[in-house]
Amino acid sequence: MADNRIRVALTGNPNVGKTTLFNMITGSRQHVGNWPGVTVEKKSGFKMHKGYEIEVVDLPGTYSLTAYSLDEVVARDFIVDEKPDVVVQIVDATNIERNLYLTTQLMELGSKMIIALNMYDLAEERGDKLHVENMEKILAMPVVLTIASDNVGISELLDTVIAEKQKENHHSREIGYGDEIESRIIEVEKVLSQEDGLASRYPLRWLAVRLLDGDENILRKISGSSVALQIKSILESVDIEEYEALMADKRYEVISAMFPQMCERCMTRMTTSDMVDRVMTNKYLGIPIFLALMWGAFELTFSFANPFMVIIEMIFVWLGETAAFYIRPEWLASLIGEGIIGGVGSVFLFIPNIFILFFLLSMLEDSGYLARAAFIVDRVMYKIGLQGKSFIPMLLGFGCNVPAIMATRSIEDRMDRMATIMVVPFISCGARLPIYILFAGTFFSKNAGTVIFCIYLLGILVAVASAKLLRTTTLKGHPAPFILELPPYRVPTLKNSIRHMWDNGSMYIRKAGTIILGGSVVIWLLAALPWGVEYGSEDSFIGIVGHAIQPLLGPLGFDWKISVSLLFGFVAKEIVVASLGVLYGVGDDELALTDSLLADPNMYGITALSLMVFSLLYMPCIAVVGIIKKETGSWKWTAFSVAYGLAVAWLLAFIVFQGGKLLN
Amino acid sequence: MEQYSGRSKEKMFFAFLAGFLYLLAGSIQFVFSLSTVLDLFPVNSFENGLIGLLFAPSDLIGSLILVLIGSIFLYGLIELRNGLNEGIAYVYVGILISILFTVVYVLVIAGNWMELYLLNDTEICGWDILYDLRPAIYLGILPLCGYLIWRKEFRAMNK
Repeated sequence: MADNRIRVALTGNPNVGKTTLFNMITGSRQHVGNWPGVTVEKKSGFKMHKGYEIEVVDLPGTYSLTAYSLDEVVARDFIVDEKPDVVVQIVDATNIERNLYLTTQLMELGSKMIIALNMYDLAEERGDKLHVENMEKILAMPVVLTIASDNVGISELLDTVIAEKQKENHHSREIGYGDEIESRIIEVEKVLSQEDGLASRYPLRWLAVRLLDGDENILRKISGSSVALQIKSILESVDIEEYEALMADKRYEVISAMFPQMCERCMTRMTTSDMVDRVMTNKYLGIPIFLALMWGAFELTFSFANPFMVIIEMIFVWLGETAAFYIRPEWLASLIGEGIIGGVGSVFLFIPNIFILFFLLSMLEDSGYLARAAFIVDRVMYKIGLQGKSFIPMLLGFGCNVPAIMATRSIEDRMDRMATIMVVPFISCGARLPIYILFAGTFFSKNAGTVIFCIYLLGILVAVASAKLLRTTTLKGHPAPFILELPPYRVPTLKNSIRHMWDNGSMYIRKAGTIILGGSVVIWLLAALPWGVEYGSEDSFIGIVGHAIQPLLGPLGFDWKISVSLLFGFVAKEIVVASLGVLYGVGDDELALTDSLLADPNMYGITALSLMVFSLLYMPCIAVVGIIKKETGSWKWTAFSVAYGLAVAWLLAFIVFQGGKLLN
Repeated sequence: MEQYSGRSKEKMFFAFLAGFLYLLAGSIQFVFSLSTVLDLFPVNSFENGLIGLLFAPSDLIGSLILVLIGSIFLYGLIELRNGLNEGIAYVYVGILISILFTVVYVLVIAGNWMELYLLNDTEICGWDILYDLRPAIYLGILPLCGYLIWRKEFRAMNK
């Protein structure tokens, strides 16, 4: 690497501000959340500073280097294998003691390290007295005060990175684990030194400590070496579990001795966050409060967005009429009016709802409340065979199932992880929202918000029931214990919430201009061809396809138009609404899609409900199927996810429609 | 926490009053909503009576939210009565949640108002502000007063 290039790894506990710091340094806009587990993959960016090109790599948060979960493995392997020039550990200044456990492990790696003491303003505000000089002396590394969210201390941090890189001598502190363990460490180190390649790649003492700590990941790394058998026999002669506990005790002992010299008055006190948590995580009130807040979000999503929807509807109706009036030949007018404007306009109509929902969810996330939501459902989740950590990907699933499935990497237990991946597609993503708003608004206008809330709730219930089923059959086992650090409550800032809303919501605008636009054209062609047939009639290609699949969906109350729209929904769920927009010919008609649906003799309340249930649960979109394959590494599980979703959706929609008919 | 004990009687009274009012309004609205859903009584007799006076139309989930807010205040009252100053947290959160729902309902009215008067949308022709007036809106005045009186104290809890 050239002398003016520096590679920096950002590491630290979850939710200490790594991604915020990364964004501030590199000018990126990676998603930042006020809960642990937002970063599951490493991300890199560049910054020019005083003539140096600094590559900054943001690693997933980790409490230790034991690497039990995939995101921890990503973080550790990068530091160990890629050997960045400098490792910056971001330490939450309001929780130094807990963060020091990772520091003690990082120190053993022998890398050049810097501590970025982040959010020090919050620590000082509550009366903590930080002794930065003592901290530097005790840890033998530079400490820089930062407030990443306000861009404070970033330049000083980069100066320190350059200074560290230029230092030739590097002094690091090591933890002493007591005579017995130390003698074993030396024994293992001696054996490891016999293998030529190991010493050049890893610090041998660190390898020895990890092996005696029962680290299977490290054991696999040396399994192909010539010393593997000797190491195995040493490890068999010691009680690994006891060593693991003793070594952890030693680290905590060292931390307890260091900590009072680094910070005065940093003892645990009851803060506003703690007080609020007494209520929010109350055994009886916690879940009702969560449900109430979610209901409020959906009510507002539906009601407050209405005027904005009316404006968008007016624009698209005008565009459709203008296209029909001015564009010749007629087929081109039909393509633009009925195909493109009708299809894309039907999806654009719901952009206000999507943005409002994401804005409200961002506010809840930024305030720190969503982490509590995972905590309060942990007891319920444990009963069904999952851990509360599985709820975090589920919550992310409200935005999009793709990052939600990626977020399962933070789940250590494989069975827990597989079960969570299988049930995440039942969580209603933003792309399904237009379907609910269209049908709930049309057929349940007064109670639309409540109906949509119930649909979302149904998604959670089906996910929970499916998890229980999987955990008692194919994915048997006990859920791993769940430890979640609750971040402090923060007043969400308008700027951050708007940014998060835009990050999540703009995806739908991009999709409207690409995949939905393309899908609308394809649907128009299928509806207009073969030449000479009546547009969108039963004789058109789309009519033929619709009639072919309609017998399967007829028992759910769906006619061929709905059936074919659902089929295209496999590409992206928004296409269901876009297809209906094209098929009901909204573009050049003064009637809006809602009016066309109301005028359809095959559509009534119970059909709408059945359709919403089916749309919620049936097979995930193509992007989600792709990510399921990637994360499970199995076609069998991917096929199972699709088939299981279809079966559950069909069954529940059948019950809703036929049950509703019986009651009527 | 000692700083709050001097004023805890005020908060106890506030928690009692707010808890009682929310619970009462929520219970009445719940009974009305349930009877509407189950078609137990003629709707008009309710709407013209107490329900009309309270602006509490049939809204099952809305009524449960009022009951929930009332319960939070009363939970706080019980803790304060038992000498647990942490009961203040319940008063604090109760105030925040009740204001939050007041804002939600006011925004619903604002949305409908914009739709009717700014955009002349015929779909909600005949809409009147009274249709969307909910107990959570006028009951929210009390927690708002509580917030204005104690906001500095609540913020200081962190110090």
